[in-house]
Amino acid sequence: MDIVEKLKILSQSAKYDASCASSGSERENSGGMGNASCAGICHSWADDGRCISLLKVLFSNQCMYDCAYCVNRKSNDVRRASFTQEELVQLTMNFYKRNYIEGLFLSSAVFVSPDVTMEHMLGVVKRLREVEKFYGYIHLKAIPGADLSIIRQAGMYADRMSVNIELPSESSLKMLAPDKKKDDILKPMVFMGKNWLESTQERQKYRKAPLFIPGGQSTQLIVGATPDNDLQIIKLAEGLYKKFSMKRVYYSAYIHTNSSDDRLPVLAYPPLRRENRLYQADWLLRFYKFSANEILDSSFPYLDEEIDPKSSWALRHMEFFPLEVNRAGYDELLRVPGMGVKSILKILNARRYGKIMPDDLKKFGVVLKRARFFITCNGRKISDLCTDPFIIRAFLMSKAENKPKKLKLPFLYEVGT
Amino acid sequence: MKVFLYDGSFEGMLSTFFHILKSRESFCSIEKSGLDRPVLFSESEFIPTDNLNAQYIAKAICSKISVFSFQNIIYSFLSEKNRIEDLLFRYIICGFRIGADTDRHLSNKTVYSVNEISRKVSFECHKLKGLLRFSELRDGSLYAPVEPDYNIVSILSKHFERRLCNEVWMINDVKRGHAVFYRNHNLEYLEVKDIEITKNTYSEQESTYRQLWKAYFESIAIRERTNPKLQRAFMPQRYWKYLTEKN
Ligand code: SF4
Repeated sequence: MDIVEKLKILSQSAKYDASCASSGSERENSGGMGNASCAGICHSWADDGRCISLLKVLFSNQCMYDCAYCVNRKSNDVRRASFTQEELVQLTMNFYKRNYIEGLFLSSAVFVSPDVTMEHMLGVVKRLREVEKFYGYIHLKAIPGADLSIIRQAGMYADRMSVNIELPSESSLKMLAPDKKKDDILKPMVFMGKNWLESTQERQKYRKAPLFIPGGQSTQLIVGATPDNDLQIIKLAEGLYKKFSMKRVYYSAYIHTNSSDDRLPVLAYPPLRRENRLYQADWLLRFYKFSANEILDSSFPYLDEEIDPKSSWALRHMEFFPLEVNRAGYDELLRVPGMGVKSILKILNARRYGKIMPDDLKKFGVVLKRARFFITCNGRKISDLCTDPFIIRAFLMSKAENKPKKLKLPFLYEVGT
Repeated sequence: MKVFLYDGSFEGMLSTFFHILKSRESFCSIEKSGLDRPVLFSESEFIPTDNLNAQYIAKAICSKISVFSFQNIIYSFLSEKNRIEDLLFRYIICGFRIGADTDRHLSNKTVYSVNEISRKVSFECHKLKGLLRFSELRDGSLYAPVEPDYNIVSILSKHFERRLCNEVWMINDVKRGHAVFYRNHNLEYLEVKDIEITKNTYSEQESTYRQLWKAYFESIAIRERTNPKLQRAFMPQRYWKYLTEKN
């Protein structure tokens, strides 16, 4: 099989993986090729609008497992291929040199055994770093069930590693991915979290201490394939951030690929809205000091699809508002819909030099369309609209408020098409 | 009132600032020489570039205002916006008055404008760090044509100097006829016209890797989620001309 075909097959299979981030790791170029830049760089945007930053491929799609939701499961009749280590090394180097990519994101189906699979992946990164002197970004998937000593070696070369948690609960895992044991997933997670922490602490003491996945670990789960609700999902995420020093949790809307499997729901569209709301809720957990139980509770176990989770929280807690932008503290302002961390820092800064006027807020990047219901500026309201949550909700939902509506051509023109 | 002219270089602009600050002459604007703008009712004076004076001003900006402000000045200068010199002069006057905190005074119009312009320029830099494409030539060197809105190849080259430190490469601003040439750990900034790249100039592998990249680009997109609007929002069409995957 020629290499173009292989690349097509093995990138097709990898594309459902949502994580693209190449940020959070700083690797200096010491006389070879490449460096990892902390800000993360996107190199292109695919036709679906997602950023392309890494060469995201599987080493092989010849899988011995049979996960219900996966195109590459053993029972599917799909074209199979595997790279050789050398092919993958050359591909990475040549793409990188032409500035197509920021680095490599390598995952794989499980062939022969988890250990053998992991060994091959380790072989690729080892060669890239040691033979080719490649200093670009490398994200490596840890194969559940692989020996921890191989994972440990791989972690010395990779910038980030991840094990997919796949599904939000153990029962879902049993149902849809019977070959994967919960323990096989958790063990490497605990192990990597621990090693990462140790290596980070070591490096604070000795600058030359060996690196272990300096960009930390991330994980991914599928949303909408199982009956797990949003509260379960964000609680799980909260736990992962706290317990395993997880850097990111990625949510991927379930896409119906295996139509004949009746363990899976039939969805006309992938639940993209829900995925998007989960990312927003996740953002609240990581940067806005919300806890999972504040975002949702058992009487509200699903995120509101119509408005963002922060607005949703605000509408349920009108007693907290309005806040005076000239007085409120950082933590309080974090709760205001339409205000981001950056704009809040700008507000706090500007307050040291004088009173903030309503006009300033726009300059600081505050989205007044949403914030106006929840703040006052010098004691005065920004809008004289009422404080009834139902009415505010209607305002927050109306798209017309946010963007000038595009005018359509008279229907005459549309008839022919 | 007077118009000051300078040679169009960054050092030239700083030299002019130096001259104005020292002589305390009043003036109505600072302009690049050779622009042929009708200079009605005003006399003009050409200020020659003096590297020592320019350095003096640069140091003063870094120490009395901040390094961040100095970077703002470089970036804004590279925007090549009309009357940017006047704006920057007002900016340093403000800066010398306010000091290290200058860039927090965003309600000051001058400070705000400079920060905005500089932000736009650095935004384009960041975009192009990703969207620039090198092609491998016969001799193994790499060549990248670009047509940025702002005059930023010098900044881009700093990024690639770190990244591709063992290669030989050239980034060519086709619109402005400039190029940065990197060889033997050394950057050279050159004026280049009419670089001709034909099929024969490329290395043998080049077409294979382009084909591979295109194949990858197509197969990585999820068809159920096709969204050309979003794609163009992130990757403005004016940058597509040199994108391997879009040609
Ligand atoms: S292990 Fe499961 S999810 Fe991974 S490739 Fe095999 S079948 Fe797919």
